[in-house]
Amino acid sequence: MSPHSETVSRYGGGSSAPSDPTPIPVKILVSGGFGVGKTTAIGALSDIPPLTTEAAMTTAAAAVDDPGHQDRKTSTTVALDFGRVTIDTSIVLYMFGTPGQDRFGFMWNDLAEGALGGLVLVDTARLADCFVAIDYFERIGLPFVVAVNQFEGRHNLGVADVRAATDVDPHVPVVTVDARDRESMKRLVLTLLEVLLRRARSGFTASSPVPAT
Amino acid sequence: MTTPPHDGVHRDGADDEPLARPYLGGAAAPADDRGDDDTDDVRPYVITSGRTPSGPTIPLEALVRTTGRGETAPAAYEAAHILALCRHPQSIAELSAHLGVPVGVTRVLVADLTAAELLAIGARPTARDLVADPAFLERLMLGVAAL
Repeated sequence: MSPHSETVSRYGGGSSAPSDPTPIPVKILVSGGFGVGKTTAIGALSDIPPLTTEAAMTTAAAAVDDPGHQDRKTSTTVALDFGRVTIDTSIVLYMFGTPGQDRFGFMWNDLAEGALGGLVLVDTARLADCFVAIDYFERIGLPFVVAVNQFEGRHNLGVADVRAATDVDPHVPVVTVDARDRESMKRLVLTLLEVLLRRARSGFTASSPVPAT
Repeated sequence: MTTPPHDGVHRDGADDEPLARPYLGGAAAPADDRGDDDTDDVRPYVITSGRTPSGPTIPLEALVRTTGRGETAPAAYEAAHILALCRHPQSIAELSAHLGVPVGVTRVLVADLTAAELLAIGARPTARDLVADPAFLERLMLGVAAL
C-alpha cells in the first residue's frame, strides 16, 4: 500500500459510514485583479458551475478610505465565488476566488486560513491589478503561481516581462494560462502542486499561513 | 439560483469607478437580494432566531454529512434542507450557496444540527500537515492530472 494513503485513512474515514467516508477537503485560492477571469478559471475545473455565497469578513477599517472610522473593526459582506473539484473518493478540492477589489485584499485572511496555495491570474493590460494578490500571498507565506491569462486577440506581455514587473521570487513560477480551458487550468494547478511538492520533499516546515494583522 | 456576479458584468462601464463598489454592502446592508428562493424575503438571521456564529469557526471548506440519525429525524425548513443536501457531503460554502443564506447563518444551523448529532463535520487535516506530506500531494497531483 502506498504511503500516501496514510493521511487519507487517518482523516478521511467517517466513523458512521466507513464504506463512504467523508472526503478530505483541500482549498486553493484563485486571485488576481477585477475581471481577470477568476470565475472563468474556477468554472473550467469545477464539477459544477461556480457557486456564489456571501460571507462576512472582518477587517480593520483603517485600511479603508474612510477617515471617520480609522480604528474600528468592521465586517463587510463579500460575495465569494467557488467551485468544487472531486479529485477522487477521498479528496475534494475547493477553488475559492478572492473578492475582486484591490483595496480589500486584506480581507482574505478568512479565506487563506487552511489554503494550500494560490493562483494569481494576470491580465497584462492591467498588470498592476495583480500586485495586491502577490503582496498578500508573499506576506502570509502562501505558495503561489503567477499565471498570465491569454485573452484572445490581445497583445500579451511575455512571462519574462511579467516576472520582471512583479519581481517575484525566482522560485515562484510565472506561466501562461487560458482560464477558459480545462487542460490549461489543470496544468496550472499541477504547477502549483509541484511547488508544494518540492517544498515538502525538501523538508519545508514553515507553519501554515498565519493571517497578517 | 441568482446568476453569480461575474467579473465581466461588473466591469462594464465601471473601469473608471472605484473597483470596490459592486460587491460591497456595508456592515448593515441587507443581504437579501442574492438568495435564490423562499428565503429571499426573510432577513438572514431570522432563520437563526437572531443568533450569530459563536464558538470555533467552521471552515468554509469543511465537509458536513448527515448522520444515520439525521436521515430519519424529523426536521423542517432549513434544517430539513441541510439534512437532505448533506446525504452527500457538502462544504459550508456549498450549503450556503444552495440555501441562499450567508455563510454565518449556515454556520449557526450546522453547529446546531451537529450538536444534535444529526450532522457530522468531517475530520479535516490542517493545511500545515497536508503541505508537509509529499505522498498526499502526489496523490492530489495524480487526481488533478486525471481530471
